[in-house]
Amino acid sequence: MSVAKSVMMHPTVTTSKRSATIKYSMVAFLGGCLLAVQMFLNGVLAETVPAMKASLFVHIVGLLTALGLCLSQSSSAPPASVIQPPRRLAWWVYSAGAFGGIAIACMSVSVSSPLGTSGAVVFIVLGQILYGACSDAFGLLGAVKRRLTRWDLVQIICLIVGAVMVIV
Amino acid sequence: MNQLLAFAVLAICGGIFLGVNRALLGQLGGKVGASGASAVNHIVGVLFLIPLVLWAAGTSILQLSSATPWYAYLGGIIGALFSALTSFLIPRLGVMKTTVMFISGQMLGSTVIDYLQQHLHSPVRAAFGVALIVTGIILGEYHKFKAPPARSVDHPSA
Repeated sequence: MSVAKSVMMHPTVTTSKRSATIKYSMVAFLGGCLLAVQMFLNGVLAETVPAMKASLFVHIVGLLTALGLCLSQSSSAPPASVIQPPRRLAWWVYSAGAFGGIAIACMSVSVSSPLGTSGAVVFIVLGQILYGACSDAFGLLGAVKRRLTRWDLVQIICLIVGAVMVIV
Repeated sequence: MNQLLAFAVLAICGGIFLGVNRALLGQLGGKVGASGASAVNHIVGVLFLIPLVLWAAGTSILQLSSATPWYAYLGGIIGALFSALTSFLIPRLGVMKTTVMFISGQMLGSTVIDYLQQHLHSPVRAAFGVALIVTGIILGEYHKFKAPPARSVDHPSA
């Protein structure tokens, strides 16, 4: 069935897909707020425990939580993918956690450097945005290619300028 | 100056690796589900951090300080939920949009926390910064909603 035919038969498909995307964006935004809470709690922990050790304990608590989440899922089959069909994953995809660990190490070192927390955060944010732009533009690491619209650019510019205003 | 530059590059790399982590989590989610991806993320993360901590902290690795308040360990729970959320959102929103939303929410959250703790050096400017970020998000989402959907990129033709 062509896209045009499916849209005519289900005229609400595109609208609901767009509103679903906005809902996901709002959920992501709230998730970001939670991330700030996590950073605060990690900071409290790091006051009495050395940074890397604190990170390890946070990870262990997270591991127990994640395993609990897995066990509490009623169906054992993974949900069907939304956009990419399930296929064999290259072995290195499972190394996601290692990159998280490396990221934590880089961030901890740069935060405790002369840059300070604020200075480091600006560049950490910059690195994430750089990767995000390249990932969507070139489809890095198997991600779906997405076109960057001017409104995405508006959001990025507002974010960078606003972040600098908050941090500096 | 060179030292600052080196640390700045290191911080940028940290951000890039964080992006890589998220992209891979997005891929994992399709195969093992969101909570499975979170579990894999944390298992490998723990395995990676143990030798690092042993090298940095020596044999006192398992010693905890009694001065630590109990709620300080809750960050891990948020982390697990966050990893699951990441692997759920990345295939639906893409790495760029997810990252922008995460960082924006983080800016708002950390500004509020800093304000409550009175750590903000210039609360008015920070408030304007947050207002700018939120304005950008609202504008972007509103126009995304009004604009016709992007063609060819994520519509499979049957």
